Amino acid sequence: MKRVLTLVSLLIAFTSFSSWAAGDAGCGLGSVIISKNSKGLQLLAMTTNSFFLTQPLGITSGTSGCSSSGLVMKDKEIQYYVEVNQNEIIRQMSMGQGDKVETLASLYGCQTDSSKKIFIEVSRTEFGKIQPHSHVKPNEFIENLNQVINENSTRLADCHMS
Amino acid sequence: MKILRVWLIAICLSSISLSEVSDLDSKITEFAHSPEWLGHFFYDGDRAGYTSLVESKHYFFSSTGKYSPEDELKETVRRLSVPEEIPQEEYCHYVARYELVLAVFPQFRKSGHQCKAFEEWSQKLALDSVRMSFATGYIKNPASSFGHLFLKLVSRNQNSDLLNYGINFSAQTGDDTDALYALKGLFGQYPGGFVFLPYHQLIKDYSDLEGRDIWELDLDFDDIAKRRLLLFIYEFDSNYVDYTFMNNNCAGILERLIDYLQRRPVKTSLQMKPWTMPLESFLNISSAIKDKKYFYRPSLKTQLLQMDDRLTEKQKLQISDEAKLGNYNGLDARSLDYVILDKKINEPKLDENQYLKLLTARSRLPVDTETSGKAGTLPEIKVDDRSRTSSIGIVGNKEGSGLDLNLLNERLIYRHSLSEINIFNLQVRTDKDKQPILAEVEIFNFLAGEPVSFLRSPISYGGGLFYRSKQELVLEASAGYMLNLKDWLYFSRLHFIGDKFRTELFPKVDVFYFNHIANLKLNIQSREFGIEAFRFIEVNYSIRLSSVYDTQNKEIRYLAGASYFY
Repeated sequence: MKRVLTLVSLLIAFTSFSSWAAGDAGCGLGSVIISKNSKGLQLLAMTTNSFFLTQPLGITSGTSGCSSSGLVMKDKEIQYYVEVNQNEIIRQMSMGQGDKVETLASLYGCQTDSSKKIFIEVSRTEFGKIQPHSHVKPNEFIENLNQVINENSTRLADCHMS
Repeated sequence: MKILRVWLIAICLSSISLSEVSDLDSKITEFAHSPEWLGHFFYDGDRAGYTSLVESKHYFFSSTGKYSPEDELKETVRRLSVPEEIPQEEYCHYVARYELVLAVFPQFRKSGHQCKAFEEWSQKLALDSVRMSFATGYIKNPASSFGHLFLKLVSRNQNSDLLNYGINFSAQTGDDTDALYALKGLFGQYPGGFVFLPYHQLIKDYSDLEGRDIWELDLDFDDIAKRRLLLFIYEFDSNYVDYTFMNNNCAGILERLIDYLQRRPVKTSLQMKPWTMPLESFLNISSAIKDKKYFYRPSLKTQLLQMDDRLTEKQKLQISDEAKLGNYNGLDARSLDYVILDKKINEPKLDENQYLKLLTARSRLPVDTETSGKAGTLPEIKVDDRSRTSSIGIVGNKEGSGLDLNLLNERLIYRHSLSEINIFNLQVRTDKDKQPILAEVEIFNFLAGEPVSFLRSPISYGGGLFYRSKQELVLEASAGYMLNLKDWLYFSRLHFIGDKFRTELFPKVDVFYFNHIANLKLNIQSREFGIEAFRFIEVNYSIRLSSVYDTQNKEIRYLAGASYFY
């Protein structure tokens, strides 16, 4: 009984250290294999190429992973950002405020406070068009948002979207 | 010795005089043992023997490079000194060390000794400052109480904070389960490497998903340190160290890296505690910064608690009434914001259609302008306004006095929640015959407390394994409900005790009062009534008084103690 209790306590104690590994959000390691068409591969395609063509990746839950010094390509920034943060973006969009939706506004070229405010207000009032059902994928979300922006281009003139 | 002769001959053939070779040799020896060279390769040890923490074979030029900084430096110098230019790809692959060496040995620089890809990358990043980010523990996970550390690179060209980049050191653990994960992590069976990610991705992982507050502290890096960081990350790339939970973790590795970047001697393993805690690394690093600039980002969980504080009793009543009916049609904007965030955080199997209806309904209501921008207000108590996790002290009671040694303790007081973890605390006291005895060993003890709210009734729980001189091994466990009333926490629970004399289940109530410098605890059960008071005198000193009335034996036991935290 004593040995069992001691072993259990040691395992519990050691397991408690698991939090310090802070998850397996990691990449740039030599031995990780990802499957074709995985979320990670899609995300990788949006970063600048690593100078090591065989740069491997580590992916966790589709939310992390890139080359260890890869910068997100300019034309993929919005897609990358939405892929990672869509869940929280839509919550803040419905509220009409928040740092995630503000960041989305800046990705759409809204650099001043007033232009960001207008972007967020437009996205809030047109929320139903941007997120019409509960399973909107990131690409669809962006298309819907782009459509809304086009329809409100006069109001959003100060957002310099390319 | 043979290698030295060959190397000397090689240098001679490149038409350097013997006296120059001798100067070069002594300069190489000196630089090989410098904080810069040792820090770059994470060498641990001293001149009696070094071992680099880096496990990747291709990280070293010399076959003995992992154990000999001097051999590694000599091989690096040799490569730079040969007449042929180093191919651009190879130069970029090892750009950091080449730049380190050329700063000390500029005579070997050639026109091709630059990495255009690195310079372009560095210019795009436009690094303005570097911050140390500390993710606090999260509610009801005492094991996370020691936190997590990573870095944030703030760009001159970036107006949106979340679009900056972060550097995280973590382990690649795959799908291993808890016990295997724990064992492999203890014994360095996971490769640990640096990850370079958009900062919003790190925020999502730690702050949104895990419910951790993020504190950022400007590291006040000069231009040399900033460039060195970028060079290091660019070069280290897919290399790895053996990740261990104890020392080669996010904290230990980052602390070594920051010391290296700031040209400070890197502490060796012998100079460190047997474990490296993210929280303590944060304290170590922040203590070296004179003008501290903090930035704060509350987690979604903390934001929910902030929203709770802003709701009126009427709003809370309305929310709970509508929750029972399952529709929220009559709620105002602030109440709906609360419901939506509560569901997002607390309902793992969220009804997505219902959630979307709530979001759509919310979008038709105006913005709650009173709450705009308030979430990130810097709290009065900073994350490093606190003591360290180990302490040593003296304790005494009517029978005698003794030593109180606490290896690892952390208490996370989170607004109205409490998480606590204690690992290996022991008391050695004298008994009534003045003989020293091992009075108590707290092998492992934890508490995960979250108070009942107007909407939810989470169970709070705890447990521990102890050694006590009379009972020997004792297992304790609790589960119950915690209530918060005007800054006092009431924890009513069923408490289990099992030891060689008894196995018992009984009701117990603990009452807590906390602030960052003092706390008071009452515990009430049928067998005894106890009170314990604890206060910090300075950040690293404390006093403790406790008294227990044993209702069965009609006796009072007391204990007094003083401790130093280190």
